[in-house]
Amino acid sequence: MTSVVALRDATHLRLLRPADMSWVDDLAWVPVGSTELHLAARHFPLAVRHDGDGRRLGLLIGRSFHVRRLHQDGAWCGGYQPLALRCGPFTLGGGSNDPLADVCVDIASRWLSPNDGLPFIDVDGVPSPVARELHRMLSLLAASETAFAPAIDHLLIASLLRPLDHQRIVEGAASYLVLDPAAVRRLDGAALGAMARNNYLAVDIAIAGQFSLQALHPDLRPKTGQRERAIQEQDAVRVPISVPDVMLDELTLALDASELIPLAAFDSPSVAPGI
Amino acid sequence: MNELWGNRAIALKGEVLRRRIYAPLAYAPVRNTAVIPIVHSECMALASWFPLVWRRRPAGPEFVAVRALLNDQRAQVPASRAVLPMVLHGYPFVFDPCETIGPDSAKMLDDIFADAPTDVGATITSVSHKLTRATTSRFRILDRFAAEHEMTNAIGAALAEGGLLADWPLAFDIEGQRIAIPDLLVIRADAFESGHFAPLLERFGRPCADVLSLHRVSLFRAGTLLAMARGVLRETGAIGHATSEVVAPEVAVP
Repeated sequence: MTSVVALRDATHLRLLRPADMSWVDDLAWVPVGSTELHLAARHFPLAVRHDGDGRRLGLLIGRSFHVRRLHQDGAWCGGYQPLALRCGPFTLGGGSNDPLADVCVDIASRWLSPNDGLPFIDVDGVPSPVARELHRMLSLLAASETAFAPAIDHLLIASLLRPLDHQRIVEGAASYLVLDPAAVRRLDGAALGAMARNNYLAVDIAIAGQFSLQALHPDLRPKTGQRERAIQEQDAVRVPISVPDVMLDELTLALDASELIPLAAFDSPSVAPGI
Repeated sequence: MNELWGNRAIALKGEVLRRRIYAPLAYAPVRNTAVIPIVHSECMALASWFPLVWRRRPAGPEFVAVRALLNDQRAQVPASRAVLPMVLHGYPFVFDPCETIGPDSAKMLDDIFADAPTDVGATITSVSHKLTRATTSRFRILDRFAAEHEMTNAIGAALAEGGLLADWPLAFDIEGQRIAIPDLLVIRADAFESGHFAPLLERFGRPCADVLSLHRVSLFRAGTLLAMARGVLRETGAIGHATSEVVAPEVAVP
């Protein structure tokens, strides 16, 4: 039995992010935000989820899809932590600019504590930085979903997506589509130009999505046919570039593109990444 | 000052052809040079490891991988030290620095002593004056690089002509030292919101898409490079025990 309320009705509680993130293991997929698309693609395979609500772009997060992101004690060790995970159990009601009215949560959530953690309102009763940040991230995810929709249509029209072959590993998740590297490779200049006529998003997702397959479990990566392999070999750079499977050196910072500027700013005022 | 990649190119003739060559990592310039030119087909492999950006050059923007903020292997992420951009696989052979790189570019030898050989190496030519396999395999790599360099350069030039590149002032104050890689360029973020790239994609096709998107993916590596540079300078510079191995804070452009 759950009781979802607006934050306004939970201001007597505080946000206490659980150190144990084993709940992530129950997730197969989470939505991705437009500002984190490129960074997240380095860590998680991009996939389109096809369900009753339509098709949405996101990240395959389940442990069957790639290397484990959690320590034995449930602590996160996967480098970048996507926006959706940072939002935890909070959801967006929609239709209000007031974080206290718009952000909703199950009152029984483990993320809420009566005594510890960060408050949702300041002393003067206005939304606290935590409440505003939750609202910003949830709104960003919602806006991203809208922005991604026409780009996903482009990918479907161009037949760049294929079902993820994962039945033997993940049960009941037959509705994920990943980029088909062979189809992306076949795109010619005219098709790419048409896809980018209004903006670059569809092409960006296609290339970033293909790149992100490096983070997918090798057994699940789209198989290359004999003919494709021959073309690939012909085009391939015949240089032995060794890329270790696990990125051991990742910063443990949780950043998305919008947060890069503050990071740079406190490092040095002269840094202006411009991204 | 460290020796950098391609700074001491000499002609391949006479006695030079009798020299021995070693694996690329046996040479300090391969290990240490921070900024290395790359071509479009390398993006997918390199974007995980290095920011892939452009460097302003007199002849036009040059597509490069930024392996570190310092010309010092210790400033590279340890796991990435074995990941060599294509042109370094052709070392100690380099292109004539006086010419634009292209399919007809002359190959030269970087006149550098292999300070960390891991094997006995091989001669450039055999006793019968033929190129050895060690030489021809490196030449093939450089030929491939040269062939793709033309399109890679054309993509960079088209971006510059379209006003789509912006300065990327990669400069930091670390442990009291100014660290900077000058003349770097990135694609303007707002350009992706428009149809600016459609004509470029029509003209250059998939290689252009790879360059544009994987450039964006790769930029997130800058934070890791900063952390590495800070670690090196803290270890060597800040405690006042700088040794001759400490590199100059400014990353010189080869």
